[in-house]
Amino acid sequence: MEEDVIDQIMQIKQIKGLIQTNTEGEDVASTIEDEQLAHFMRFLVGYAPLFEKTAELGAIRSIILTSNKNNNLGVFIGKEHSLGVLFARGCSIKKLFSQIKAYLNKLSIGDA
Amino acid sequence: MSKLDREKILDELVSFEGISHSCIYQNEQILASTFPSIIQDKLSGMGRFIDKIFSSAHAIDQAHDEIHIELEENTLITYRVNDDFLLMLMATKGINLSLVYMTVKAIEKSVKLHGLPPPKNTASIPVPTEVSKEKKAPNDYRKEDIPVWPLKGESEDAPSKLTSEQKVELYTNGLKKMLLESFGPVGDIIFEEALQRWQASYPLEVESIAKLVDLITQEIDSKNEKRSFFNKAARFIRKPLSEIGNE
Repeated sequence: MEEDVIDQIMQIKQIKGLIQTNTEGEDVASTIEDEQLAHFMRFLVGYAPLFEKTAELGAIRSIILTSNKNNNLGVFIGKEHSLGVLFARGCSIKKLFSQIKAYLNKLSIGDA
Repeated sequence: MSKLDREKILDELVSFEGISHSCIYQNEQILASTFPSIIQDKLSGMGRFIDKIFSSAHAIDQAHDEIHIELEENTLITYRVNDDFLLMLMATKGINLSLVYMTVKAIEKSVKLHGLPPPKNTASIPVPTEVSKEKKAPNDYRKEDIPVWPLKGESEDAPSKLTSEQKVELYTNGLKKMLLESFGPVGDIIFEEALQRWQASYPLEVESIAKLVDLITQEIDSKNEKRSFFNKAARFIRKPLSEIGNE
């Protein structure tokens, strides 16, 4: 079922790659070939709780990095799983995210 | 921007609807900030974390220069300007990102041309924690303006079934909501801090709510925000309980 959901998200035009990790930071599924980028996304997932502790501003739902030179990337933080997404630069983040969020519950990433 | 300085940059950014606070981080220091003092000491830690994310991205040849950290109610947006300093903004989720982006690009260009000048009246790098500890006395409203009200019409129209604790809760919830609407998650911190001080010093009854308003107002840094909250809160706690209960 999870593979189906990953496939459906991958159908979104601007998505270039996905990585789904569990609470231990291990890959559940991944379509990202660039291992450095995959590492960076796992790093962001692991970094989120540390930032929450420092900032004390509540739970982090997602972290997105954008650039004019590289593809944009982001991670959606869930309790059981997190989802890293690589997407084309220049696309509407808001629009893309509302599309992705529709699938997140199916991946146990809550109402991120 | 001919006379570029930090305060002008921040003032311009927080003038946008949807941006509640902003600050400039450089070399592990907060150089300027419009965040409430209560959160100032956390800002440099947050800046360090975000700086590390940028550095890690650059280490793997990724040129990302903008981060959105989505929180429950708000988003913390940070721009890396000219690989030199970070502009951190607390924004609502529906903010016009293009407007902010273009403003930041204009700031970037201007800083390239004019540089980022040192803070006024400081010979060395400022120590942000000192700012946070320094509790300025509220000077834009008069304390005596907060009466210890016999709350209007309470005896006639307050819901008679409510216990004293429930009545107090109606007012405290309303004040908290007001802070959350104005300051986002920072409002929660301001409220909890003031509530603790209030609970420790005053009887927990409706007649003391004005003291809570006073304590909350003291926690707010910006003169304008202090005044705005005080006026709103003063109107709110003058309302009869029956009206508040229906809101």
